[in-house]
Amino acid sequence: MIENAEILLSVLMGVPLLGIFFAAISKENSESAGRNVLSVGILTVVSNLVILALIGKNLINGSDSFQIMKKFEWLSTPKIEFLFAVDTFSLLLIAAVHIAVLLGLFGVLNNTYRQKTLVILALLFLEMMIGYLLAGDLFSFYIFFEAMLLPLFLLVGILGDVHRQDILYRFFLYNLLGASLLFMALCILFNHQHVTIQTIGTVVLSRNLQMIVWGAIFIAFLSRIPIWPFHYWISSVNVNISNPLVFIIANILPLTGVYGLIRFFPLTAPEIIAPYLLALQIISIITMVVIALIGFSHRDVQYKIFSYMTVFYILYLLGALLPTDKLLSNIGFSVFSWLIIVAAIEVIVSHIEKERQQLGLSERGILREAKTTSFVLSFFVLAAVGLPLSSMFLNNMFIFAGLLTYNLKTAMFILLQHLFYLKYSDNEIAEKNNVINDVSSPIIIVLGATILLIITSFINPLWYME
Amino acid sequence: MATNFIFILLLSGILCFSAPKKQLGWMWHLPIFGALIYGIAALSDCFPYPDFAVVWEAMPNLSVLLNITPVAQTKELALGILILGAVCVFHNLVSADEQDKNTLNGLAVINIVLLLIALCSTNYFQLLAAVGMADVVVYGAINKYEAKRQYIYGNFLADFLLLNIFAIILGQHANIEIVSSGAYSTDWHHRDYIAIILLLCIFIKSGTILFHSAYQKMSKLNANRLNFILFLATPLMGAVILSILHDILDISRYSLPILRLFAVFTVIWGACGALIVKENHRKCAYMAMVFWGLYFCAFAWLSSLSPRSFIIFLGTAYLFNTALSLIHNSLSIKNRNSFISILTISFAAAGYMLAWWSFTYSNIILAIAGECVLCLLTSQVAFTIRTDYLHLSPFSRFWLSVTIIFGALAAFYFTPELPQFIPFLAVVAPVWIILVIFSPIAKVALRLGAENIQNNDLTTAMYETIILAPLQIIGRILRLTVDIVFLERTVISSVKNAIRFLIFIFRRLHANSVLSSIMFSLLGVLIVAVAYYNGVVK
Repeated sequence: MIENAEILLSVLMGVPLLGIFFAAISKENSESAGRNVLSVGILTVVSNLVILALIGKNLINGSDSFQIMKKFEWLSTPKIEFLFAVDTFSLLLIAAVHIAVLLGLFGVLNNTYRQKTLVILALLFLEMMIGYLLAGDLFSFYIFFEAMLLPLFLLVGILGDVHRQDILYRFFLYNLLGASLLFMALCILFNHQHVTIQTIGTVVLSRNLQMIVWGAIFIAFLSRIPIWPFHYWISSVNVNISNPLVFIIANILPLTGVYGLIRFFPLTAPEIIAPYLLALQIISIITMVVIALIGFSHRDVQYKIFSYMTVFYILYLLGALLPTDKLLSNIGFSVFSWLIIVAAIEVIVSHIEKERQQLGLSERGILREAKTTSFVLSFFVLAAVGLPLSSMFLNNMFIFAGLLTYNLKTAMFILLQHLFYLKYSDNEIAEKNNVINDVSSPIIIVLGATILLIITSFINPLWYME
Repeated sequence: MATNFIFILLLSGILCFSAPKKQLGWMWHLPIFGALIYGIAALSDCFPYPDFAVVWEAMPNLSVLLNITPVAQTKELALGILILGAVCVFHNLVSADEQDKNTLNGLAVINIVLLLIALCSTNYFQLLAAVGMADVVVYGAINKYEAKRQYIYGNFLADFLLLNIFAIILGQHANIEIVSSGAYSTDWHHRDYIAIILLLCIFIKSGTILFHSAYQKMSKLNANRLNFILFLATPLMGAVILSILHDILDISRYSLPILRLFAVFTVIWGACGALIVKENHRKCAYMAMVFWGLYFCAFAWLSSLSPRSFIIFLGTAYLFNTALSLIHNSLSIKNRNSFISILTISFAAAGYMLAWWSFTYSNIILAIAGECVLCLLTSQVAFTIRTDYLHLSPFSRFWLSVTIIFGALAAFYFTPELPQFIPFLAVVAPVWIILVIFSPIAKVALRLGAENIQNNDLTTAMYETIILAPLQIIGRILRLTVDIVFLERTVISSVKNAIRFLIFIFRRLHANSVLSSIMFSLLGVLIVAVAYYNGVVK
C-alpha cells in the first residue's frame, strides 16, 4: 500500500498532458519518419500503465465504492469541485483503454502520414477518457464526456479516410443530440441539488422532471452505444477507417455510454423509466440480431469487427441494466479482456488488409506463409468468440446467468450474436505468390506480451492486487 | 520434487510443445514418458496417489474449488486414458510421416491433462474450462485449414451451448456443483431444453451424424494426428461430458429417444461410409463414427457400461485405425515396415473384439481388415509389401514381439471368458471372409450411388444451403432496408429537412416586421408557460 495514493490520480491525469507537450515539440523529418513522436506516445502510455499497476496495488477487491479520491476546488460561488475517484471497475476500464491505445500505436508503427497529429490527438483522447472514467462529480463527468469528441472528430475527419461529408454530419448530429440532452439534464440536477454521481439516486424531482431528466440522461448515453437507431453513425464512421489506432479509438467511444449508464444507475434504472426498459431490451436484442446478420453477410472485415463489438456492447448494456449490481465486477473483468482482444485483432487485420491491398491479392490463402501472424490472429479470434483464453470466458457466463435469471427469452436471443465470425483464407491451394508478410517483430513481441496478459486474466484475474 | 503427476505431465507437455524441432530429437519425450509411467503407476495403486485440490480465484466474486482427484468411478477411466495416451505419444514418436513430433506430442499430453481435469470435475466451471481449453489445444493440432475452420466453428457452438446450460443452472439454481445437477428435475421448468441442448453439444463433439463433416475434413491430416483427434481428443471429451452430466439427461423424457435415434443412424451412416469409401483415412473417420455411435448405443441401451470395457473398446478401435491409416502410406513408400506389426496387432484385436460386447464393431473391423488384406494380396504393389515383410528391420521385429506379448498378457488379464468365443469365431470368420471377397455391401452401395452420397459432404452442403445462405441473404436485406432505406433515406433525410425547415422558420421570425416580432414574443411566452407548468404546477 502507498501512502497518499490519491496523488497517483493526479499523476495519471498529468502524464498524457506531458506526453502531448513532448509530442508537440518532438522533431520530425523524413529521416525519423514519425518514430520520435510515436516513441513519445508509447512511453506515455506505458508510464501510465505503471501508475495504474501502482493504483491497483492500493485497491481492495470486492469493494464497489470509490477507494481512492482526489478533490479539486474550482469555483467557490457557485461551488464547483472536481472530484476524481477510482474503484476496481474504473481501473480495469482505464487499463484496458490504455492497452488498446498502446496496441493501436504499435499498429501505426510503419505509418508515416501525419504521425504527429495522430499521436497528439490519440493522447488527448486518452486524457479525456481517463478524466471521464475517473470523474466522480457531474461537472467533470459532463466536461470529459463531451470533450473527448473533439479529438475523435479531428481524428476521424483528418485520418479516418472519411471522404463523404454526410458521415461527419451524422457524427455531429447524433452527438449534438446526446450532448444537448445530457447538458439539459445535468443543469436541472445541478440547480435542484448539489449532487455527486454516487448520490444521484437520492435526488427528489417532480414526476415530469424525473421523466425529462432521467429520459434525457438515458438517451444521451444510448446515443453513444451502437443501439438502433444510433448504430448507424458509428457503423458508417467505422467502415471507412483503415488506420488501426483511429479505429480503436472510435470503437472505444461506445464504452462511454455503457459506463455512463452503469455509473448513473448502478443498481437499476429509475422507477419512472423502468416501464420503458422492456422496449429498450427488445430494441437491443433486435439491434444485436440485425447487426450480427449484417456483419455476417458484409464483406468488409472492419464492419465485421464493428458488428462483433456492437453485439458485446449491447450484451454489457443489458447486463448493466439488470436490477442488480452484483454483475458490475464481472462486466469490468470481461470488458478488460474484450477491449484488448479487439484492439489486437484490429492491429493484425489492418496489417493484413494493408498488405493485401498493396499486393493486390484476394483473401484466399494469404495467411499460408505468415505463420506467426496466423497464430496470433487465431489466438485472439478464439479468445474473442469466448473460448477459455481470457477473463471474458467465465465472467461472460456470469453475465449470461444474470440475464437468464431475469429474462430467459432475452438471453436466448443473445445466442445469435455468435453468428459473427472472421473469415480469412478458405483455400489451401492458393497460388504460391498469393501470400502476405508476417507482422513485424516489435509488433509480434507486443502481441505476445498481450497474449500472456490475456491468459493471466483467465488464470488469475486478480494478479495485480496484493 | 513435484507432488502431483498432473503438473509434471502438464509441464512435460508444455516443454515438448515449445522444444525446438530439430535439436535433441526424442529426448524431449523422456519427461512425458516418465510422467505418464508415474501417473499410470500412481493410478494403479503402486504409489500412493496424491490428492490435489486448490481454490481457483477465477472470478472477482466467486472462488472455485479446482479438484483433480479421480474417485473410484473415474479412476479406471483415468488410468485407461493415460495408457492410451502413452500409446498415442509412442506412435507419434516412431511415425516417419509426422514432421512436427514435438508439437503434436506436447499438444497430445496437454489434451490428456485436460481430459483428466474434465473427468475429475466436481463443478461446472472446472468442466467448462477443461472442455474449452481442450478445444483450443486440439485446434492447434489440426494443421489443415478447412478441417480447422469446421472443427472450431462446430465446437465453439458446442462450448457455447454448454456454457448456456451452466449459465441457466447457475442463474436459476445458484449452484455450481455437478453432483446436484439431478436436483433440477424438481424445480426447473426448462428441463427439456437443457437436456436437448446438452445432447446437441455432445453430438457435435463426438461427431455423430449431421455433425460429422468436420471429422471427415480431417482425412487430409496424417495418420497420427487423425487418430489422436478421432479417439483421444474432442470425441472422447464428448463421452466424458456424457458420463459426468448424465443426470441432466435423466430430467427430460425426450433425451433417451433422441440419443438412441442419433446413435443408431450414426452407426449405420458410419458403417456404410467405412465400407464404401476407398480412401483409407476417410475410412478411419467413418470407423471412428461407428465407434462413437456404438458407444452411445451402449450408453442408451445397456444398464451399465464399465470403464474397463469402454477403454478396451476404445484402445482396440484406436489400434485398428492406426493400422488402417498406415496401409495407404506403406503401399506407396518402400521400406515402411512398422505398419506390418501394427496391422498384425489390429487384426488380432479385431478378433479379440468379438469376445466383447461390441459384435457390430468387430464385424465391421473384420470386413475392412479383409478388404485391406485383399488389397495387399491382389494389388499391383503387393510385391513391394511382401518384400518389406521379408526384410523386417530389427526394430520392427522387436516391436512386433513386444506387442504380441503385451497383447497376450492383456487378453489373459482382461478376458477370462475368451475361450468360449473361439468356436463362435470359427463359425463367423469364414462367413465374413466370403462376404469380404464378394463385397456384396460395397457392390449394392455402388449400384445405389451411395458412394456419391458419402463423397459429396451432404451435411456441409445442407448447412450452407439451409442455414448459412438464408442468413446471409437476410443480412443483406436488413442492411439495405434498415440501414440504407429506413435510416439513411428516411430518418436522417427527415431530420435534415426538419432542420432546414426550422432554419427557414427562424429566419422568417428574425425578419424586420411587426408580425415577426409578435410571433417571436409569443414563442418566448410559450416556453415560459411550459417551464412554469412543468416546474412549478406539477
